[in-house]
Amino acid sequence: MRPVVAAYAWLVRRLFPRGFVEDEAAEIVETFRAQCRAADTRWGIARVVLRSFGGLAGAAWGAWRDRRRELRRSPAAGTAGRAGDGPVTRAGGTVRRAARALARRPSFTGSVVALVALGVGSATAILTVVDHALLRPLPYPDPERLAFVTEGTHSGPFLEDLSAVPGVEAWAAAWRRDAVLTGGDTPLLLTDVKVTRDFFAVFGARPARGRLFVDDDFRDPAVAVVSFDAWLTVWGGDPGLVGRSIRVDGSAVRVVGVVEEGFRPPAPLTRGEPDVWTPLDPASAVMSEYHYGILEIGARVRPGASVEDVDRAVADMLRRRAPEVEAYREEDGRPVRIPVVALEDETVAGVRDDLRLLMAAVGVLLLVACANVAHLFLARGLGRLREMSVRRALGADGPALVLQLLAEAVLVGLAGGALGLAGAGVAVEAYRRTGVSAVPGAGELSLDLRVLAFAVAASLVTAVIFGLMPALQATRSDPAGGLREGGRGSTGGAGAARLRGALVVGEVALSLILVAQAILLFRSFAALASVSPGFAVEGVTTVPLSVAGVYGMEERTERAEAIRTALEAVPGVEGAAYGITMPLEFTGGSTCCWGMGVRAEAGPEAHEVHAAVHPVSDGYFDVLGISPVAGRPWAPGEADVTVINAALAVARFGSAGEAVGRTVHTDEASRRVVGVVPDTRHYGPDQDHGPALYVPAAAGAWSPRLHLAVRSRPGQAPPADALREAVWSVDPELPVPVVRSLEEWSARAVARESFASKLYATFGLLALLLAAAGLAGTTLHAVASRRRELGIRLALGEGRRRVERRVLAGGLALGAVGTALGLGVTWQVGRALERSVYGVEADDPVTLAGAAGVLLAVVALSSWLPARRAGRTDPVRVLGSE
Amino acid sequence: MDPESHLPLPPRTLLILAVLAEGPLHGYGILTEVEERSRSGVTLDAANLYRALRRMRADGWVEEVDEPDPEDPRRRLFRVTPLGRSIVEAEVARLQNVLSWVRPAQA
Repeated sequence: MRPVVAAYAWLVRRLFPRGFVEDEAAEIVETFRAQCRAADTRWGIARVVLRSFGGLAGAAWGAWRDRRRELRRSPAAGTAGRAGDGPVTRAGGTVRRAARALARRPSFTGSVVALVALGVGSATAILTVVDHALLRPLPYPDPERLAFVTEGTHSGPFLEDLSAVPGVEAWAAAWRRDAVLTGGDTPLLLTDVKVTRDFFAVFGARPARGRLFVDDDFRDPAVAVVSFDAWLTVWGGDPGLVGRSIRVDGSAVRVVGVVEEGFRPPAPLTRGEPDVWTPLDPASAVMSEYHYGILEIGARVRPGASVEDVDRAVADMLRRRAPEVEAYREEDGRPVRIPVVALEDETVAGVRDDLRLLMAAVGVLLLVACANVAHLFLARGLGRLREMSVRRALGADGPALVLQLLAEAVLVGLAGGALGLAGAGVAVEAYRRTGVSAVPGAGELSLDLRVLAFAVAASLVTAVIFGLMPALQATRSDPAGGLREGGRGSTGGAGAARLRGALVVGEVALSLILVAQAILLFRSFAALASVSPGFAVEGVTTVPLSVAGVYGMEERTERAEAIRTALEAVPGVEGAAYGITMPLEFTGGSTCCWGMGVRAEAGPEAHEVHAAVHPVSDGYFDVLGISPVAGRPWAPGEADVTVINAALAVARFGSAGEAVGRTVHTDEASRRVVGVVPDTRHYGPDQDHGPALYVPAAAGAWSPRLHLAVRSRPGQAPPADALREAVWSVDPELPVPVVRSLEEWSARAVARESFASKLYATFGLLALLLAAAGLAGTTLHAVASRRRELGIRLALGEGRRRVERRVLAGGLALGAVGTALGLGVTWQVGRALERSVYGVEADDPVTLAGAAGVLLAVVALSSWLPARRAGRTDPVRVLGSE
Repeated sequence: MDPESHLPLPPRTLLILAVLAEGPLHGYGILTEVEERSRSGVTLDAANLYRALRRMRADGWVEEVDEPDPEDPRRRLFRVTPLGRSIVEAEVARLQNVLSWVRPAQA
């Protein structure tokens, strides 16, 4: 019984106004005790206890209200309004007073608003991006039933074999290619995606005008469906387009419909949005070869079956068919493995890790910002102790003061949140525009209501938590004590100092993580950028063309040569060449376009080395600045020759010198090696090319790709229009959409790393600034709070230098602890980063040492200024003010 | 100071005043009386009682008795003032009036 009464008594003393407690508390407790004693049953006692504790809240509330009414009648009114004020008026008064109080301290208000804005803004922006990429389901009906067949592109016969696999409602395949639209002012290069019969049904697409494909279309495929965006941009939204014929790849095609506006085809299948869709004729030649892999394949799984079931069924099918079908066998005879995964996973696979990392970095930044907000509020709350004490002595009541402080915190939080939201909007818009949006659906990014709600909630929670903590502390304390202690009491004592120290240590540790991450990513980017590509990047301009449907195979080489000659005639051009691809056209792990096994002796038994095959024109090596390490390039007209790269030479013959004059055999032909060139970074600085075979261009006439390159003096590249005119002088129907320098291709190849390193550098810098501010603030505060002590020391003859050093040491100690803590965490975090980092070990000591060095330097600087201030304390003034 | 301007009274206040109108009592006594009379219909705990008493003292409806309680000098005795008495009487009259409107309908 006694503890219950004691608890009741404690509550009564805490919850009620002072006057009330003085007059009534003793009797209330006595009465309660008497009630308990009088109750004879357990249940009776329980009822008394429950009723009494339950009534406390209401009674306290009423008591405070009564008190306010009393005060209104008395002249020593505190913060209450006039008698007769309604609750709205009083609330307005509170807000106004809060706003005035904030305006009186612009540096504090500005700092907190900025910090909240920073934290909330960056968190909101990142959350928008991540939400869009990772959290939203795919915009198709029942997206969890959609599957995707991995391992690149597949052949028509493979698709046929798949149709027998159980558990699948429908397969959907797509073949993305270039097509040339003629009949307008200039020829246009369009993206055409050929799709199978069920494609639109599987992804729930509907027509905006006309219709989509029906079964008949696949027998007579001279029809097309146009995408909504293309309908607007290419045909100007012409309502008469449906039913009309357009000229694609030289033949007439009838437009039967326009796809609805919002339809976004799945990225893994179509790699972007096509301009036109055409039916994929299952009987066409391209669909009949097992080795002709052109299709990206997806599927809708039957209800009741899972994607894993389909994956297993496909594996079974491959195993069963492997003995009959060579394409289903690996080199060692085992069946190939072609995993089938959920489309959702495939869509975000590439960016999921990056985005997770980004979220983590933003989380850290947010924590650092919150820590600084806490600093500021703590310092301010304690600093206002004096003001609060005076007001309470004059009769202001506790709740009203707390309410005002709460109003201040909310105002600041809302202002910071609004600012942060605006900043996030700008950031998201900027992100949307950059070419680095590898995030699926990036074009549709926009801040939505959920993000808005998060922003408001985050800012309010931040402000209220940090605003109330010290506020409650300040108003709870004995006002007389606050007045008596004067300046000394305003620091809040050892507890607060420890809290602030802990905050600083935390901030330093967190900043170290971000700084280390930034350094790591920067080094990765630098490593990537410094890789020697093996070809000349300056002074080369490339013109990628697609001659699909324009030239038949027989005439391609002849037309290509004609274009090459025309380009060489352009003033400023020193040489021109072409191939199927040019260096850096394909990066990030994708490659193109031709590979074969290379044998040293004729006959199938000899051991093969798999090499990429590059059909190139005469002059290719000159234009790209690739000098042979042995032998020479072939002369014009030389037949059955090849130039190989060093990797192939070593793998096949042991060394470059040994290879010249030898013969290599492939399925395509046997060729004599006339020269060996160094390995190039054809597919990007981070990709090791491996063995490669260069052959004269005629061997590559089967490919519709024609990528030209011209050499000019560095800095004196011929204008793009001149090059275009040269191409059109040979063939006015050939679209020339892109003219791009190798320097720009090179920048694009490292664009992702470049962006990432800049982004994390920004995070690191921001965190660093915040940590520095936090540390400087804490040290300054510590100095201010110990002014009396410092004054005494100085008066007693302690040197200024010693005082300075002592303060500096204090700051450095905090910083060192934080740095050590941060190093430990970074060590662990580095492991997670390893996958996305090129060329640098993630827990690389140089990076860690660099980050630690930066942090310690910042810590030293942040402590130095307050230390100097401490040294310059005037003992006379400090002691005299007591 | 028109008593009617304070009507209607909250049930708690009415009961406390009614109990005190019969004679001075200390806090615990008021609690027990109130509980008994209302047959636990009106629940009152110590804190709320004393808060109500304090308010009624401020308003002048109740006053403290100068002589201490003979049984326990620490406890205060409260009694109703003439103003308080007139308020209780006014409220009772009002309630009876209200009841008289209702009764004919029940018949």
